[in-house]
Amino acid sequence: MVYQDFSAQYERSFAEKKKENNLSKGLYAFALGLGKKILIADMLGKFVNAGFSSGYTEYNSVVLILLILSYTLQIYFDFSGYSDMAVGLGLMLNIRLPQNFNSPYKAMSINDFWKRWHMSLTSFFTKYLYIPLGGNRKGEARTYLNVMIVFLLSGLWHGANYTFLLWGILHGIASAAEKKFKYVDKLHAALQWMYTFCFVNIAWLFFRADSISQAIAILRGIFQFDFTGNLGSALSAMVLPEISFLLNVLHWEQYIAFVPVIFLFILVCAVLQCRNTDEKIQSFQPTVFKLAVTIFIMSWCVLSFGEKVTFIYEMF
Amino acid sequence: MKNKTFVMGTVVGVFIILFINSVIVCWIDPYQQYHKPLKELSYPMEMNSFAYYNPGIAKNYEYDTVITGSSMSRAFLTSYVDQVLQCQTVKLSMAEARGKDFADLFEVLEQQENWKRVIMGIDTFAFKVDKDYSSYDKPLYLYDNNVWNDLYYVANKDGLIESCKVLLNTIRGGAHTSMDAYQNYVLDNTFSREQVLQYYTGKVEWITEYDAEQLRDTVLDNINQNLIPYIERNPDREFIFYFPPYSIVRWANTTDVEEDFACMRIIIEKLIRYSNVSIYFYQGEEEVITDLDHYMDTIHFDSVIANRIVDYMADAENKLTTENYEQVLNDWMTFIREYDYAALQMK
Repeated sequence: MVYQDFSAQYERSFAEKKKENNLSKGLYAFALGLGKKILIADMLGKFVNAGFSSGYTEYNSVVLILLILSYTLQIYFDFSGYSDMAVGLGLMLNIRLPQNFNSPYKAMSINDFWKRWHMSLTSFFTKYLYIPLGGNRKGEARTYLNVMIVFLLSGLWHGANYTFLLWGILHGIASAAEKKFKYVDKLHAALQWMYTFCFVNIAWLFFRADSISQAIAILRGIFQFDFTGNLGSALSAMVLPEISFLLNVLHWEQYIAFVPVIFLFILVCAVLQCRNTDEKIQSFQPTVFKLAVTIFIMSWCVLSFGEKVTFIYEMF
Repeated sequence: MKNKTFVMGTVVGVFIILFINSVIVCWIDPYQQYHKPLKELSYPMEMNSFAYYNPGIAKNYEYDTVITGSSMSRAFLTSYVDQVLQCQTVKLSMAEARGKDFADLFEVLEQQENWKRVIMGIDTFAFKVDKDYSSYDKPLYLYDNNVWNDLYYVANKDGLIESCKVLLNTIRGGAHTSMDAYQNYVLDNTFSREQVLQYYTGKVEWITEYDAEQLRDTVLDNINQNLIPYIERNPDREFIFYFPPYSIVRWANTTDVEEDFACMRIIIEKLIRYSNVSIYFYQGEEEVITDLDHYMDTIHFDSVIANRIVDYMADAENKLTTENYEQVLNDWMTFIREYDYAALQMK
């Protein structure tokens, strides 16, 4: 959010009487954000962290694909969760923060993706870098160069590592290529989405990996088409203890490997089908159902703070 | 629904759920922080959640003797200790524990009144590290008397899940984990010579060079912070330290034996001067350490050996004194240096 937008709203928030629904709207958005962060992103993070620390060397192709998908979902639920919480807190103070994520995984091209992902950063780079560099006003070649500069710096903005740089370059190339060759429009809608989602996934792999060689090792592992080994033990890291307990109560422990797969499937469906928090907020009216959802999510999150550490030391 | 109702409803609703969660956790109290296990319920105490159970056991059980140490103290049967040493024992083992972990436990113990004796296994690795190094993130909110930070326990889903596990275990007719079984790895593992010899791949060369001065500083810093204050502040309580009997195979696999030897000497020389301290040395107990049928790996022994240690203690066998400790250490070093490791696989 740029200063002018913020200062105008800040002054208005004191001048105007609080809008009737903003407090409950804000609370609802905050609860949704908290849930995204604590209940979804952190759970995915357990598997992702284990996978990227050393687990990837032992995973088969399917688990490696799920590892990349898990990180794609983790970074979205984590980051958009934080943004929702900020939007929620802002609303409670009668300040309308701009939308930061607009269902980015529904994007049908990389350029579309960047209109939906981390929109405040995109708008910052557009306003303070792309346009001052000349934008698309100085000829075709210069436009693509400007696009590459923006994405390169965007990569570096995320961290001083070659992995971030490569992530920026990949997005820069895809963005420029889409502009130049306009190949996306020629594809069927389903293929447009698949191309975009697969590209974003692979780019996130380079973003998350500790090194480029690690990312390549993971890609190589996927293309070895190794489907042997046990799926469950690696994926079970993301099964919530309450779910494990429930399986135990029902004597369904043997199905534990299905839980993370179903979990990931539901999340993918959710990011593709559900309205995002901003859309929900716009049409928000307090109802008993939404009250129950808010109480449920907030309680579950508060009860999840300071989770028990399970010690892995067996021997000493 | 009104805006105000929604906001108040959320606050009240969340509060009610947290309150109900807290009441259930306080009532069942799976970590036994507030009361002893309820008689009508069976508490399953998971082996690797010891850091959660230990402080509650220390606070609420009746005992006069504490057994602690790394996993090398897990095989003890407290019922046997009670019988032989005429006491009432709790076992507060801490796998992988370092000096700081023992200090955290002693902080809890110091606030309890009835205990008279601690029996603690000494592993050199516990004291060869920085004095503030801890092996794991303990739930320190369970280790103090601050009621407010107990919210991490009572207003937490893990407390509720553990409470539900107690109820489920009771409904299914599961056993309450006895102090004999608590943390005891003996039931879940096999002990045999063949098992141990899987770890033997020939004797490695011992490293003879190490920084003696740095070792001395590190070990003394650690002990001075994590053991000595508790020994000095509790002159009427007895501190029994024992060096657990690792199997002979352990010394074939270890390179820094000389450093271990020096470390043991530093620890013994520091502790032996206190009148409320007794030290027993079982590392050199030949009959025990070469009887590989009672080990599951190179160091972890079964309850037969654990019971034997208790018998030795009762008879004050292998007790170190200021006069004999040099000789005992040297004899042990000579024994493991000259041992015919190659013959291990032939027997």
